[in-house]
Amino acid sequence: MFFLSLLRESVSFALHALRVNRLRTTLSLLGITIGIFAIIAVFTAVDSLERKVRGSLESLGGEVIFVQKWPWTFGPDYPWWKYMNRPLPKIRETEEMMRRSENIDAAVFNAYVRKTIYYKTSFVENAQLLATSKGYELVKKFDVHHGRYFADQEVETGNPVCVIGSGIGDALFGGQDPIGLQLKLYGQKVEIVGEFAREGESMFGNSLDNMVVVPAEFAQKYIDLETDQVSPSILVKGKEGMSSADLKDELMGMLRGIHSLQPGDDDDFALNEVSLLTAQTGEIFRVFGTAGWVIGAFSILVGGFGIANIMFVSVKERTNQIGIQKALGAKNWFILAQFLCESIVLCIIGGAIGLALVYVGSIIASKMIDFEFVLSSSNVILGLTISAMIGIISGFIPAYSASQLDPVEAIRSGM
Amino acid sequence: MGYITYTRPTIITVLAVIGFILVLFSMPSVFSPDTRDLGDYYPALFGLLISFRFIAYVGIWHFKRWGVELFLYTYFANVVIGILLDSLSPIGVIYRFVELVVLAIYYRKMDRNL
Repeated sequence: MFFLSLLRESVSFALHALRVNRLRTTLSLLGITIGIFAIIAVFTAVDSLERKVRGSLESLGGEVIFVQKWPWTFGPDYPWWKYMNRPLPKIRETEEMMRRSENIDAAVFNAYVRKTIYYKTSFVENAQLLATSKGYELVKKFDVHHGRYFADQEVETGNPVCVIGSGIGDALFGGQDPIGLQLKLYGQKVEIVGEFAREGESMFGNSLDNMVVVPAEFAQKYIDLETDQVSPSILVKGKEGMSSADLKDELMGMLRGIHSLQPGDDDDFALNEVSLLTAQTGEIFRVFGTAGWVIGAFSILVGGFGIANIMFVSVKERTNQIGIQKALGAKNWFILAQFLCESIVLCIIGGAIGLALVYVGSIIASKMIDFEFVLSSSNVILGLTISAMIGIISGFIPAYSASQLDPVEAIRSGM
Repeated sequence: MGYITYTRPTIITVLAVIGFILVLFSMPSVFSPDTRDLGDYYPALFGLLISFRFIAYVGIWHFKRWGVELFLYTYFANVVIGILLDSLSPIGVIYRFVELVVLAIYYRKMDRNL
């Protein structure tokens, strides 16, 4: 109870100081406000961007290993000339992999090609066509909004069927139910059996919204799926409970066997996984975070000095009042707590204004560009913590000096 | 009955000055990416700990017992949090322990009032 009454009194003192010396207090608070704004704005932007990138990476397949010609690692010693001569993944290798291992849940061949697709007089130029083998639904999470996904038999026999993304559906059919309609692809009529639910934009261009998925057995009748132009890959998912490292080890041995490599030969394939990219992007965002942290640290430092200054002035102005309080029996710690609370409240007000600016800024920025900025609760906690910390550190010495004042001298100073 | 007052020994002045500098430098680490990675509430805990450490050094500078006591609490809090979050710096712990030993030597001579 006592603490609450002390807090209430301190808050009213702080607000009174704000009201009486509006310009001076506002200018002092500006340092904290700008500091908190700078730090939290950078953290909000970096966190939002990181969340988006990670989300896009996860949509590639978090538990999936990609068998490809080129590895996803980059660096100055990237021996591209070695990788260039590697063979490309083939459709028949997926069957071989499934036959050789009992630990694989799905091995799916994927190839991408750009193609103009037609429906009557409408067309979508350079739509992304994904030719996939059996089991794509096991390695990639998606929802089918209208219709259904392929039956295994349709994929195996290479039926002229397709599942379209919602973006393609909107472009060709204006949001109407497209099931049963026929697209024209490679001069062939291809029946639409399903439409994917909207996924939203992906930073890596792998959103199903603008894709047309067809069985690989169908596509290979019209295009060569074993060329670099279609970026062929095999997506492998292990059975429940199998670790990514174990799956990689098994795939390594199996693919060396399939490719008839001798014990001393280098691997002629790359086993890529999303965690590789996640780790690399994590490092990049760390650099951004550190840059924001350095900029904000200086702003906060300057803000802290401003608050310390205003608190010293406040103590000086109220020396007489402190003397009277002490003469009436106020303890040293009461005076200390009173000024310390005032300093903390002032800093929290400054920090809250900074956070409010970030919040408003994030809403405006989200509306202006097609990207969602989110002020997370952890950043709000961080902003308020920093404000309170600055309040304690910059307000303690002035508050302590006030608490040590001699009551007689203090009262005399006001005469 | 008057109090016997002691002037602040040089070693305490040195410790306090080093302490203030260390607090100043550890302030930005509250919101560093490394600290944030430890958990959502860790910056808040760490910030509170640094603030109390600063207050402890103010007390030590004024040659007050409460400064040493607060320093002791922050020392143990730091060790406990460090162990829980596996972020304990052995050099920091040893340095602060040495500080604690020096402060303990002068504790009886310090002022017991606020």
